[in-house]
Amino acid sequence: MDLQLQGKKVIIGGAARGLSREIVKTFAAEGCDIGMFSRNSDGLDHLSEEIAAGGGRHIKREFVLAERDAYRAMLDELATELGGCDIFVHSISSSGAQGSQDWDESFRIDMLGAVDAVEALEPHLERSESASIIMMSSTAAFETFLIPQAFNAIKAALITYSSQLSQSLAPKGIRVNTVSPGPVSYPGGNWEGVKAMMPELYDGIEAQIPLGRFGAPDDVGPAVAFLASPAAKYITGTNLVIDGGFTKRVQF
Amino acid sequence: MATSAKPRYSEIRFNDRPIKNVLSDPEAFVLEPGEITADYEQKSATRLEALYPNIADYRIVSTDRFVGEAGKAAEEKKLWNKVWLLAGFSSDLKEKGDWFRFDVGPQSLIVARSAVDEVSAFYNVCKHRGNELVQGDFGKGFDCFTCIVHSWRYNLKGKNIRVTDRESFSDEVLSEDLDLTPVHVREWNGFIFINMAQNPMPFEEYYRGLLPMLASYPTSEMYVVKDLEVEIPANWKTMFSVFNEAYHAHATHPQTKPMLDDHFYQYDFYPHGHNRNLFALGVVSERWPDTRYVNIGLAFMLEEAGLKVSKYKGDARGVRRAIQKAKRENMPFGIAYDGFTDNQITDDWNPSLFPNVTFNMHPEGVLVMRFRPHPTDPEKGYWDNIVLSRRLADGKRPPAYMGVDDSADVTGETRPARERVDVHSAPSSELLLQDLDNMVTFHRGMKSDGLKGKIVFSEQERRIQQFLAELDLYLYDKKANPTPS
Repeated sequence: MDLQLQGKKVIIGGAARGLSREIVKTFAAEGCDIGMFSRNSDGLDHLSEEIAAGGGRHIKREFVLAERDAYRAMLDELATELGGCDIFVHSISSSGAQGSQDWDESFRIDMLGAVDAVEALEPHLERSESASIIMMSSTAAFETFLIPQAFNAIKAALITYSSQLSQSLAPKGIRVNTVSPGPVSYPGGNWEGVKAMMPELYDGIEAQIPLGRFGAPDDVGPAVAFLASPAAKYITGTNLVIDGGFTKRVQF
Repeated sequence: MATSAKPRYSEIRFNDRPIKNVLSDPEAFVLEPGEITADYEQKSATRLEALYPNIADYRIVSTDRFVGEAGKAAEEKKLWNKVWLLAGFSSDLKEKGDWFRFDVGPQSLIVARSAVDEVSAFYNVCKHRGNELVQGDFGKGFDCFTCIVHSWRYNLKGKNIRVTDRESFSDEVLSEDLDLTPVHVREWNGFIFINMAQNPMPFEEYYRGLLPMLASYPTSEMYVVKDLEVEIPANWKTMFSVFNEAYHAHATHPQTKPMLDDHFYQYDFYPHGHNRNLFALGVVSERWPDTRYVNIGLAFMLEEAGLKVSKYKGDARGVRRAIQKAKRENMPFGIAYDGFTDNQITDDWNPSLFPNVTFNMHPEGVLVMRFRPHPTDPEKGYWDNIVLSRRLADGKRPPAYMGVDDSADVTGETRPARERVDVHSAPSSELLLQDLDNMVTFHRGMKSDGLKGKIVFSEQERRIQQFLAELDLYLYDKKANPTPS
């Protein structure tokens, strides 16, 4: 299948680690141009070296999310330097900074980070022939996971926002979809730290996953690439759950 | 596995990234001091080569040192009765008449508080027919020691105060020295040391390199909250070597990689066989795949220091300094950190006291480990795990890695009994169980013909090289001081 991603311009944050990192690699392998931002400049440099073979352009921005104006301005500049924006993946999160229990941080990063990005990038996305936004949510939004956390509630709000946004942006040819991964573990990731320091918790969760293992970044990357790509041109407003069967409720 | 340390770490054991700039001369590395520093934090004035011109000989050594007879007879004649040894703690000798027993190999000693500011130590043997005088580990409120066999009696300084039926002894016998034979004893900053030599090297000279650093920890205010003796099927030197290097941390203790720098730490070597490592805690090992993310271990340390993790701005690289600052400001353990350097607040300061003791020192408490030879079997030894704690705020406990039982009293009101266990039932922290497993498998492995009698050491294992070099000075009569007893 040709996802028709060749030459498409992708903007994504939190790029140096975890799922975002894998998503960048997936798009890069499909020949996309990528504008990526992160607090971790060394991480961006490493990633950039790794994806050089894909052939597309890669623009890096060392960036810490602080003032909303500065964030919008950064995204606007990045899209301009990239020569446009076809795909935006909202993947920055309070969970990237041990902020899952913090209401202010979760709202600031997971919610407003989406709202401000949409505002800044909409003019660029509008000019694209196959514009698409992916909002990264989580199974924790719709199924109780350990404890009530700010992250969980805000990720639920993000699903509503994303779905309703898909209706309002559709006339502009911009698709909006959500991806909700379950627990994902990767080298140096939070779950691997849990494996190190609270092994019973890790084992307990793994035991509840019908497909028998924690998720890995490459379980999520290809799905995001597909949903974002022209191959999914008629899909909008959906929530793709990628969890190995972890959540039990029936998804209508 | 010898123990219950579970093999659950297989994935993270080997998820290592290679260290970019491996130290080819680890001894040269300096752990950067914080703003508040002290002289005792600086690097030692002497490199290992200056202390032992032949130190290169100790990179490849014979397994005979560790298996079989392993030098037992020579050590009993030339080592144990020459050196200062950690015998116990002042907190166990609070009142006059309190005593404890200290055994090393076949020798047994009694250490007693004989007067308010005085400690006496003597061999635990009645001068009549050589009966072992005390069999227990501790005693309180004694005013004398009475031998169970013929009721001979000695006062707290070891002086014979009763020969029962004295008239039935010949003058010849009575003119023998019938007092308990004393040994040198020194109480220092809450520790009790003994030396069985007649004219030992002065205490201040022996520990010269370490005393300034040791003096900065208020160990005279600490008391024992865990006392565990594990009998290990390995020579005491094998056991000791497990704790004299951190090269093993990434593989033996992979769960420490998210919060301990296991390669870039400071090595300092001092005269008379002592040394130390200073380990930065609250730092992600370069081997861990993500050195920027504030992982769950670092998050826990921040919270413990009284910092709200989500409010911490910055990545993993700033965590250690943030903890140092926060602990000084918040005093989360109920103790102040005046008198400590910034690095002492987070880091594990780990001296080795030649020949057989290590300390893992924190302002809140100290893990003492001591390795003693078995009286008859050189292929066995005793591993003493003792935790000293200060009086901390309610609900606060010494660092978890020290293995203090959750239910143990850490207030100092009750002194825990000494537990004696073997390898199969050792209760302890996961970390210490991982080391225990290594002691067992090292001992078995070193008997293998496949080694052709030799093992090799890296420069990260210089502390072991120093230990063996210093040991040889005693065994080959090359140690200038002390004089033979």
